[in-house]
Amino acid sequence: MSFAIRFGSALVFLFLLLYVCSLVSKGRLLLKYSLLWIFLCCLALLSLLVPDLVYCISNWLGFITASNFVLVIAIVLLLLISLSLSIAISRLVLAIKNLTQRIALLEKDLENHKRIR
Amino acid sequence: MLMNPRVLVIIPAFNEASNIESTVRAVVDAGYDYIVINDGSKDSTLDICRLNGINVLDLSQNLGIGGAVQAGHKYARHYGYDIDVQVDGDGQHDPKFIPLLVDEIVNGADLAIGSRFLSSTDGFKSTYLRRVGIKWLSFWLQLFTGRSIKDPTSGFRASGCRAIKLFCENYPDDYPEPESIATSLKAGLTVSEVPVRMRERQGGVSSIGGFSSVYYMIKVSLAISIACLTKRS
Repeated sequence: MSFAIRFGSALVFLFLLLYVCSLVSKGRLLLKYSLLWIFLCCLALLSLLVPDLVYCISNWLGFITASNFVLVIAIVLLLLISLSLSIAISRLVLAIKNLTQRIALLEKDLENHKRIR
Repeated sequence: MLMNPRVLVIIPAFNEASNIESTVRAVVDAGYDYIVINDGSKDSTLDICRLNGINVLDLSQNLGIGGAVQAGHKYARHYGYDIDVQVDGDGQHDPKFIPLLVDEIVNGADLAIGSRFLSSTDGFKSTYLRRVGIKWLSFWLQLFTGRSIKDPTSGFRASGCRAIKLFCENYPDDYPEPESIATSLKAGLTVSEVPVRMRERQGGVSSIGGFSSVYYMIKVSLAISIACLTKRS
């Protein structure tokens, strides 16, 4: 890995990490959903700082080239992030459904109340 | 079970402006309390209801048939009804069969399904392809629950207290009919079928057709399996 590639990608991930942190501090991203992104950035930065670590693990696991290993890790992390998004959306859908139903019932109560008065 | 149960008719309505009045009138003429669930209709369904003094529960978001019917169950529970009967807003379900469904609940069933295929009587029995789909779902339900339900997609059904409680807590969002039967059987409720005659829809369009019917079959089959294979606490 050339120095330019290492330096360039490290810069990209550093910016991503800082961006995620700023989103959290501005309240535009919940800390809960930022954890996987922060983890991904730190992992990327670590492997760029100490590439030998990546080669070592990749070798030990039996990957022919280290880039395959890195890609597999990246894909798994992205899959985890998308799954966590699906879970978050499902929770929202359920919450919206319950809230919509409750609002409708409360409205009905209010309507009945007014009529009695 | 009580001898004189309080019965509520739930009428879910999504863009049913052309049918809703006649459906409600038929239910009122049959002498039942009712609630129309306006599922975020884009047409004048809500205006027509308000104008005619129809008792309507207005969902501000479109939740799909499952969310709408569940809102009806919650309404029934909130206002202390013993039995609720789901009657679709498109005029397919004839209110004169409501007493049969209610009787089935009074006689001990938790969920009574109005079935098109139990009797040899005429009436609307859906198109050929749909009947094939219904046969498949019926087979699939039997495979997983061991119970034969001839018309699992029927939305004409009565629920007793235990079923209402279950459905308030847990009711599928889209295409809920077959899945809710599986959920009920899994929860140990008694499900039975009552022969009814249905009419062809009198307006509006079916929610199922074309490509979505493939999605429907896959989704519902999967939902039944998952509902049956997971342990409920």
